[in-house]
Amino acid sequence: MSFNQWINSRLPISDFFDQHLRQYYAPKNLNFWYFFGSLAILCLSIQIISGIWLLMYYEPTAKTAFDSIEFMMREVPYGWLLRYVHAVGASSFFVILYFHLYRALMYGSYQRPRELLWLSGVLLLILAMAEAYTGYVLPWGQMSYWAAKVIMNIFGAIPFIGEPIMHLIQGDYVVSEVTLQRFFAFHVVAFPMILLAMVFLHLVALHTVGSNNPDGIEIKDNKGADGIPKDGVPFHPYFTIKDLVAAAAFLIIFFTIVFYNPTMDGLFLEKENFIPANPLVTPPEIKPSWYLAPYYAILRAVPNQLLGALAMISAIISFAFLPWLDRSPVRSMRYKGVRSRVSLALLVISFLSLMALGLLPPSPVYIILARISAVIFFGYFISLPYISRNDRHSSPPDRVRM
Amino acid sequence: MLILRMAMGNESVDLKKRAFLTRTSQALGAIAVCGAAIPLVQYLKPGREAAMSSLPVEFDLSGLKPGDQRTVLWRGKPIWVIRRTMEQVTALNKINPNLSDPNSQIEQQPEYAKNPYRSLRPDILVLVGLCTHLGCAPTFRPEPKAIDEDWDGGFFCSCHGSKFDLAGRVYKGVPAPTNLEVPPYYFKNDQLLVIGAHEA
Amino acid sequence: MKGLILTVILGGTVTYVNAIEQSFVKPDKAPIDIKDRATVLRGAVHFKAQCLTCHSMKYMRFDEISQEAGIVPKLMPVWDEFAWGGNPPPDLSLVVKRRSADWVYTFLRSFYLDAGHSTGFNNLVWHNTKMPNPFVGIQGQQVLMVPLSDLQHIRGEKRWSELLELETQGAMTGEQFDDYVNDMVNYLAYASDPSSLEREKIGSWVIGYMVVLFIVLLALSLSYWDDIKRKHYQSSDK
Repeated sequence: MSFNQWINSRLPISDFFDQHLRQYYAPKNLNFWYFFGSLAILCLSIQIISGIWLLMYYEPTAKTAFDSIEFMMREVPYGWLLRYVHAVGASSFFVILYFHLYRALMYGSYQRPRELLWLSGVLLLILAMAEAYTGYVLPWGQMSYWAAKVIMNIFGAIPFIGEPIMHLIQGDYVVSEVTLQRFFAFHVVAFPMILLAMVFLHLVALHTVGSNNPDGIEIKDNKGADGIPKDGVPFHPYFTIKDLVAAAAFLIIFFTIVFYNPTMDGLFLEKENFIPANPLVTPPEIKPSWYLAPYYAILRAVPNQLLGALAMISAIISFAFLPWLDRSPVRSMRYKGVRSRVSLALLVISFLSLMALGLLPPSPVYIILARISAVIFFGYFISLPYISRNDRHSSPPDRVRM
Repeated sequence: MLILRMAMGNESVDLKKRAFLTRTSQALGAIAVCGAAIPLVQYLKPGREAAMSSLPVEFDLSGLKPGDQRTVLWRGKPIWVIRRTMEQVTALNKINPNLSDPNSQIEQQPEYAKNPYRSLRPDILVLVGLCTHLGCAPTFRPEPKAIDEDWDGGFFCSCHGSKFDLAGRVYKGVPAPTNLEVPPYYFKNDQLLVIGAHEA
Repeated sequence: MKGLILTVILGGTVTYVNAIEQSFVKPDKAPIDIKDRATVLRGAVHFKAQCLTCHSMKYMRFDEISQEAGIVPKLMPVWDEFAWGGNPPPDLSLVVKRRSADWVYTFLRSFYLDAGHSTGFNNLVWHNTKMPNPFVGIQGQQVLMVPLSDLQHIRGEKRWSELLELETQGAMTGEQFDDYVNDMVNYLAYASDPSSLEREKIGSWVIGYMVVLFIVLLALSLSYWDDIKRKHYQSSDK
């Protein structure tokens, strides 16, 4: 009996790899938009490793947090590299997630039987936002403190139970050192553990139903005599190598940013956050990180505190309903009509506008633009049942197109 | 793999190229992983702050009376400064057959401490106050016969019974393998001792 | 160059204005070159002479270049929050990250005589700053050429050199003073982010290697996918 067999008969490791990599068939027409799932895993790994390393010098108390990071960047060998990798990695993660999400919108990857795959994904997006938010508070700079305060106040806006919940999460009557330490616990342990468990479930859901593809047809509908989908290719070696190429390309861009412009002129690491937190001085512009900016823009666009908070939350939650809002008989945008395409384009444009507006100061003109963009954004979801059912569509082919 | 076998023509050329590319990718990938490991490992090393604790420390000898012992912190370790009495200094000239390394052959001290007194000046003894066995701090026992009948004064480590003489030399038959370490030091002037650096 | 292109591509989709708070003038572009160790060291020496008495650089406590220039923790002032009437001179370790090199470069040269202000001088970049003018002897004394009331209307339109004139010559010429301040800003930029001295050099190796790795992996991937594509296009019914 070989070493592998000895291990495998007790713990089916090679069986597992065989079943899920060599014998898992993915559609052969997967394109650029299908890189982002594995890139997300790569990015998550980068964040975990750089995060663990940062933990060795970071001090989670209000008095020393900011200093500990600055000292680490100067006095620990390659401390600056770990810090910049982690900060750029966070933003990269969201670029990847948004591209990954967009792919699903384009090709209808959320449609049955992939509803739970989609929902686990939406949950992962929310978890990632919570993880990023708590992480952003940790340097305890001006933005860290005031962003924490603003978001906590949104919780406080809920009638009756809002304030007690706010105090419960904060651990204090105001955002304070206590809040910092518990956000530290959430960011380092609680959310990562849930994230990893959720990623696992997400992958199980994927392997159960199989991947969608740009043509939106089910490759399992067309199996050969051997039971293998005719349009499927084994994940290993075809997609392992393809994803490695994507990883290399991603890392080229990633490292260019890390080594040449890690703060991205304030987009990835805000200037204001290089001032230690001061509860007595509010910064002239309170900005969220760019990846949370669209939702912040929606929050600000609504003149009512509670309704603004609800609108913001609905913006994120709306995505969850897509499998039931999209009534189209075809999955992929390739075979949908003009109205569907225009609708999706408007969603993208409004989302990007909201992102830009969320980063700008709330001048009257910008508020109006944000309101218009918010209406268009929500319009996508509201109009989807009607448009998807009544739009012209062509027939997708029986076999995938490469 | 079935699909692979069904490939039309050019099979051998294609597979050779593929094998070459695979091996090259694996090699480059391994190098990349090593490259990524370098900063991760370097980061673990003691940083600038640890290096700074190595900065020399000054000690004023004017308050030190004969027979006194003081402890100073350098590099996070206790450093003893002892002003030996005339008798103690003279006694060191005697050859003690019970010592493991009487001539300080093993490199536990700078060149200038390779003498019977294991110090620059016969009266001032500077030692790292950590037992060379497992790092406990020995106690200064200058009184004769304090530990046993043959005890002429020195240092006794109560953790596992190691004994050192008044120059920090280790006795035979004890767990500690080597003489107590002498750190780098010099005298800025008659009364000022600088611990942690050789004379420039 | 690589960084510039990438910043334009990736940062160009989202534009946001980083307003120079309270500044009346357009900032001059600071000719900083943080990879030049000599200018950083010169700047550190200038800093020790001119600034260290009031401004600490606490994150530079063990920095090699700072120590070389004589900037050591022992000499750094520690102000409590009530000193200087509640407005103590701030620590400058991160001022360039916080404000930008251009801001600091312009600020340091925009002091002008203002009898009405507490320190006797005012500043075009930070109006009514409590900081006294440390450069009177070197730069000389400047006066404001336009009435104060006009400043509000022309905010951000002109450069400081268009609004101030040198009334009394200092020990340095205009160019010498510019170089002097430039060195200082280089040091401050370095202090804000010491990694900038070596970051780009290491980066070019890393990225170069990744490009090579990418090309090899791409070739390998294409060689595998050649099979699939060939079979796909060959068969009309597979």
